Amino acid sequence: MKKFAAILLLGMTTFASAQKSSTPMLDGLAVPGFEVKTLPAERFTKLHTAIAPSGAGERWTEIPWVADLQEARQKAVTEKKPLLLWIMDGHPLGCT
Amino acid sequence: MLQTEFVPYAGDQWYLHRQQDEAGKYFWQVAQQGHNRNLSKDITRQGVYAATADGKFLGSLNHSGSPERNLEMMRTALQRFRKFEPQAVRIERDSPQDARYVRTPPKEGLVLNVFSRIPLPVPSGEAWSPNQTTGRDHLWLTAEEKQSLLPTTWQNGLRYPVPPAIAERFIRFHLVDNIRGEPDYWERDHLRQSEMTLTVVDAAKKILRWEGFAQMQRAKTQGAEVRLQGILRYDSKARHFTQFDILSWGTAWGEGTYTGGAPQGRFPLVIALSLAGNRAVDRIPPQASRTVSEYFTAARP
Repeated sequence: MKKFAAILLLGMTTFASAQKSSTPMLDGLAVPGFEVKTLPAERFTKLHTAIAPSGAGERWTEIPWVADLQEARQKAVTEKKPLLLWIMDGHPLGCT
Repeated sequence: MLQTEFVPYAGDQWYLHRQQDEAGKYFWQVAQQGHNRNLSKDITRQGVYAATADGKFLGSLNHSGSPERNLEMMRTALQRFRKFEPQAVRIERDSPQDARYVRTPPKEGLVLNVFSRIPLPVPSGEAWSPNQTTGRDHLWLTAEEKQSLLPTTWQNGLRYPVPPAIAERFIRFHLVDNIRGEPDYWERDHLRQSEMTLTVVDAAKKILRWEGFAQMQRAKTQGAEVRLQGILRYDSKARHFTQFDILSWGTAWGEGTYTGGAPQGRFPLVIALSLAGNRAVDRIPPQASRTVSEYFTAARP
């Protein structure tokens, strides 16, 4: 009986560890799966906040990008500077 | 250096490639001196370019992802620029724009930031994976659509469906895995099941709760099933939402034409929407609004 209980306990512990390690995490927050229909308000807020990018990786958004090419050209004339044109398939500031 | 020595511009070459106006002419003038100049004209000219306002080429490279190469190109471009006489070019700011490719946020409408993530760790043995990045987009609603989200009467517990055109826009164009690049959007026949409702949770404070789910499947290759939950606060005096936070969580699988490298099998996908600010970056049009008529007429017969 004790042996059975030990095996059961070991099995439960292993299962719990596997469950824990397979749970997706974002900034230390467990991310729910589709089977979870609603989230408590606090968990909703924390997860929503964690998804939005922040920190040092966002410094490029502080650059005063001009999104109108004619405006950028006019600015270059006025400020006597060359243009640096970041042109991608999908807007660099709005797409991946 | 970028902020002090250059005028930094960012744009989508899909539009510039097609525009029949002054901006489009300038783009082609510069691009045809750059790294892709020998490719046929239907091929992308994306990349990083340095040029004078009148189109003199100073340097370019494809998007290498290498900060060192970008820096080297910028330094070389500056050296070349300093050899030129001061520019005496006149830029026509008010020249007619090619209306087919003008996208401006809807007047009095709503602009939402849309961020998406795949909450998985970096695969062992790798320093970084494209799946670690954040997908970015905007969602636009017209003034009329914004008003259509409000209840007919502010009564606690009143539950009603999200207008079909808005629900479809959310699902088809924004509940997507755009983490690694431009996504393939869901077509109508990819939608399996969905439901989105709004509920008045505090009539006095004008607070609404958004709830729903959506299941999409493209053949057997790609799909997603996600839940949605959100809190909306409305200021009836200002006639504007002061909070519009929506969270989506669930599972996706497969990859699109330009989004190769998805995690194997089913993987978690989370998306957060919230009110955008008023910076240039906040006015970038939704990626799916390239086909603007489809973006704004979704769900209509």
